[in-house]
Amino acid sequence: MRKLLAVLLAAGTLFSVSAQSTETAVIENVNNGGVASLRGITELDTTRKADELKRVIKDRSPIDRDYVYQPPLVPHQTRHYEVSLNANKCLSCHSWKYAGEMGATKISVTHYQSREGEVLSDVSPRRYFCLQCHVTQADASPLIENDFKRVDSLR
Amino acid sequence: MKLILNFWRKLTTPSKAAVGTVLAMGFLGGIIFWGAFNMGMEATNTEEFCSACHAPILKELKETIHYSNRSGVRAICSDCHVPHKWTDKIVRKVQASNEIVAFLMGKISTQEKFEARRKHLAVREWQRMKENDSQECRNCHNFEFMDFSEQGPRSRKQHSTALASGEKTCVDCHKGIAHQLPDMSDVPGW
Amino acid sequence: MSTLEYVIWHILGYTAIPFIFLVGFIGVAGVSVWALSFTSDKKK
Repeated sequence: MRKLLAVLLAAGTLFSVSAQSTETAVIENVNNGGVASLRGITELDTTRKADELKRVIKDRSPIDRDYVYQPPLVPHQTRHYEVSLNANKCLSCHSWKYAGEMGATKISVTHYQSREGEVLSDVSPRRYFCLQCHVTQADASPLIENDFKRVDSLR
Repeated sequence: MKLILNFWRKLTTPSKAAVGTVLAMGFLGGIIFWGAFNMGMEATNTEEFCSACHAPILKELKETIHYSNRSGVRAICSDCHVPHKWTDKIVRKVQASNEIVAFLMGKISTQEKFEARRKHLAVREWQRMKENDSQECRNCHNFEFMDFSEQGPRSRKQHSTALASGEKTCVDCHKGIAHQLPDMSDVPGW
Repeated sequence: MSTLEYVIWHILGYTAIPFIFLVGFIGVAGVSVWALSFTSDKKK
């Protein structure tokens, strides 16, 4: 019995020593080599502190477009605004019927055109789901610095 | 029948107990009865009770601001659908017998049946709220104490004109604030 | 709801209120009479 225990102990110490040597090799592969990304410059095996949650700006004046065919950004929050086959909350203010009364921007005539360019009497199904093109804005700074400038006609 | 006559005789003959004893029993009994009655009423006003039959509606509610929001101040089913005044509350509870009949008849027992009936149910509630000037909304959202300087430009504009003049009531614009909407094709404003 | 529905529910609802008070009174009276039958109003 005692001989068996001695043999087991010896085998155990041998294994632990060999395991340690492989561990140090694994740690060296984790270095990010100084390459920065959207995660910052943290090592692969560390967890960086999470950023602050961004909130959508509740209501502000309309935002100018950055390029000519840009679907204008939504300058207000759209929490729980239903856009479904039953109801389109966006159109309850932005359709030609109600825009004047509500003081909202009218949807452009492009929204009434079919794919072939023929003009329909109501909003074209291909333009019905507003939020596929028009997005709300969170109160956040750009992720990547850039020096994009609008064309002169839009500045 | 004999039991009733016996009971009536007991009630109309003097008791051997002290006046105080009889009065105290009546007083305590009244308190316990009133408390139990209203506790039972409030139990039928809880989210758990309503969602036992109206589970799909509670699921829809979970994404809305009245369910979960920044401050945690929220509204449950009865806050909007059951009047707060006691007399109107009793009238609504008596009317709820209609809903028990509908449950037994299985009027919204499947999702499809519910979707088909959604418009009918919604129109009834909108009409009720329009008739009582959105009283249930005003139970929490008191117009007299609305701070327009804290509101966004759109809210400020609408609340200071249509709502202030009495031309519109809360539910006229805030349909769908808590539940998904039915087919809105013939609803004014949509 | 229609006017007829309104009238029906309000009649039923308003009559329910004194009905509740009556049932409550009878209930409390029944319990009290039963309790008193064990003590003061024992049948000899």
